[in-house]
Formats: sequence, C-alpha cells, structure tokens
Amino acid sequence: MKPRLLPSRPASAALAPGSRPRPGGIVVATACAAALAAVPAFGQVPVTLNGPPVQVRPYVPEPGLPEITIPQGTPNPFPSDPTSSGPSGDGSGDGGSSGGGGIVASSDALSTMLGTPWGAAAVANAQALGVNPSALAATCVIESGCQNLSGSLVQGAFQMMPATFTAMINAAVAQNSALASQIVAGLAGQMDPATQSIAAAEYLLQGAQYLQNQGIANPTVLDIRAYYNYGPVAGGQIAKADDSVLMSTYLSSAAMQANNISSSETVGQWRAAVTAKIGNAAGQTVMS
Amino acid sequence: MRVIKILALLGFSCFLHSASGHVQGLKAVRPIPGYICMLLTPEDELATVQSQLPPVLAAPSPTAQIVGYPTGTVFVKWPSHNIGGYAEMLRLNWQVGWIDASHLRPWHPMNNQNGKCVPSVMSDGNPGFGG
Repeated sequence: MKPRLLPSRPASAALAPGSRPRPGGIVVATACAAALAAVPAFGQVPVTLNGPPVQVRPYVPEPGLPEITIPQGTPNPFPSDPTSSGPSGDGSGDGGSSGGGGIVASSDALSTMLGTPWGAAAVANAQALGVNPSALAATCVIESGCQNLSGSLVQGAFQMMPATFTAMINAAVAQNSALASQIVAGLAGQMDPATQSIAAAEYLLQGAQYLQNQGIANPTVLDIRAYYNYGPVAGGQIAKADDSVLMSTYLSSAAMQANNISSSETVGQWRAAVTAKIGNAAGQTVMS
Repeated sequence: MRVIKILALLGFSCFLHSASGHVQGLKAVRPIPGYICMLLTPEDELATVQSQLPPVLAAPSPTAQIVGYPTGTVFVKWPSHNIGGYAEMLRLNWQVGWIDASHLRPWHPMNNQNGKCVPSVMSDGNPGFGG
C-alpha cells in the first residue's frame, strides 16, 4: 500500500469526438446527417486561440518547411472539447485517439500540464517511454494539480515515494538511455518535475503492463489509477472489481483515511469520483 | 427496404453511442465454479512494484517460466490442487498458473468487517472480483 494524501484538483470533463462516418447507402448517410444535426457538432464550435498551436511532430519532415519550436509552458489552445467550461464535467468521453506513434492525444489534463514550465518536457519524456502524455498529465492533475508539492514522504508534482522514484528512474534509463541526460541526479530529482515525470511515466508503463497481464488488453487512465495510488496488490483488484464492491474490501483503514475514502464508498463511486477529477483523459489508454 | 431501415437505425444508434462515449464500470455476471479467493501474505501486500510479488509460474516448479504476477487476492483451485508446494490458480486472463502456496492465506476483507470475494465472470468476459 502507498498511503497518500491527495490534494486533488477537479479538472473539466468533456465529450470527445469519438466517431467516424461509415460508408453506406443513402439511408445510412441520411441517418448520420440527422445525427449530426441532433448531436452538438464538435467541429462547428468556434475556438478562440489564446496561444500558438500544438506542436506537430510529423513522421516525415516536409521538404523546405522550417523547424518550428514551441516554448515550454505554452498553454494548449486545443482542449478536446471546446464547449467544456470548468470543472463540472461528467468525465465522459473516450478522449479521442490514444496518442499512438508520437501523436499527442489532447485532453483537459494535458492542457493543465502544458501550462507548467516543465509540461513540454514531461510530454517528451512520456513519449520517450511509450506512454500517452495525457495519461501522465492526468496523474499530475489528480495527484497535485500539477504543483510541485513538498513536505511529506510523497513529494513532487507526481507525488512519488523516494524508493519508488529511484527504482522507476533507474528502470526508465535502462529502457531508454537517452533519458539519462534529462535527469537531475539523486533524490534531488524528486523535486524536479521534469525528472519526476520520467519516473511517473515509467511507473504508469509498468502498471499498464501489469494490468495487461491481468487480462485488461489496453488499460485506460481510469484502469491504472488505483495501481498508481495503492500499488499492484490493491490496484489490480480494484481495476477488476464489480462496481458495487466496497473500497474497504481492498484497502486498509489507514489507506482509506489517508485518501479521504469513506467506509461506504464503492468501487463504482470511486471510479466516478476519479473520472470527475481527471475529466476526458479517464478513458484514454495509458500506452501510446 | 426493411433491412436497410434496420441497418440505418443500427448505424444511427452506433453513431450516437460512440459520440457520447463513456467510461463504463465492471459488473459481475456469474460466479466461476471451482475456485476460491485467497490473500497474499502481509509481507507481499507491501509491494509497490509487481516484481516484489511472488511470481505466477507456468508449472509447479521453481524453474518454470514466470507468466505474471498476482493481485492481492488469488483465485485458487478448490478443492485445492497442490503439487510440490505450489497451488493451482486461475489468472485473470483465464490462464491457469501456479503460485508458491506458502504465500497464500485465507481471504478476508481488508477492513476486517464486511465484504466477500466471489471469483466471477465480469461484464467484459474476463475473470474479476464480485462481492
């Protein structure tokens, strides 16, 4: 168990565009047109730009096109649902694409993380380890509001214990040696958010692989949340539990108290609460 | 024509469903007979990474291939099937595995009060924890 104090911040939630028109006959096309008329059209909602666009990472460079660099800390102007306003969302939505192949899947959590001075570095670190940046962003949002917190055993923007941080940094460098140059050495790295993002991304990756081994083919941010917070022993069970089971079935009284979970809270209620906090990143996959 | 209408309605409902995509929880559908829940030892419960857990092996032998690591609760074959100190168990991906029986103890909820554990087929078709 990893008892935690979780100063969670609510994040806005949104529906994400998750469908594609399918080929079919005239009737089907008409039905889809009717659907577009009935459902809020995501593409028709105006977006007000308040910063430069998200940096595109092309697979093949376009000849003659100059390289464009976006400064760290630039806010993400494209939240996945521009109609989302504030933290009152219901957390629904599949979050769109999973960020495969270096593509950054947008989310409200990602916007929050990119609003920090170290956010862009954290995105790059997640991608270097094959982790969806939105999954990493959702972790810092719910753990600390992406603030570099200190003062307890678990510290930093990703609220990791020192032993776990050290083990994950070592594992991450073993997996991708290029990350070594990005790291603030020793436990000092615990309070460097960019360095801690490497450890957190590695922990998410290992957790996703663990959940895959438990029969969850493509773990989501919601699936892995309990693993990150409580470790594999309880995390694996909560990810595979019926909504109606009490959280106290899997967590000690100390862990319940440390995380402000009431004795009557069910797994389903906990899932809903987590989803409300991390918004539209909840349904995104952990691995990119 | 009727078939086309049905297909159109089906496609329409699929479109609406995907447009309003949501995160669904799990529900236990039915128990899995022949297995009971057992807990790992208190020492195992301190694990923060999976490699600190007792491994699940492909065969009842210390030299057998490691096929994964358990959750805190293990679905153990019942009546018990132990060979050489290893207990047969059901992994959460439906595969059978073997775990060192010395790491197992009778199941109880962590709050030591209410709660039960029923090895169950879940709504996603995989094994999971019913209560």
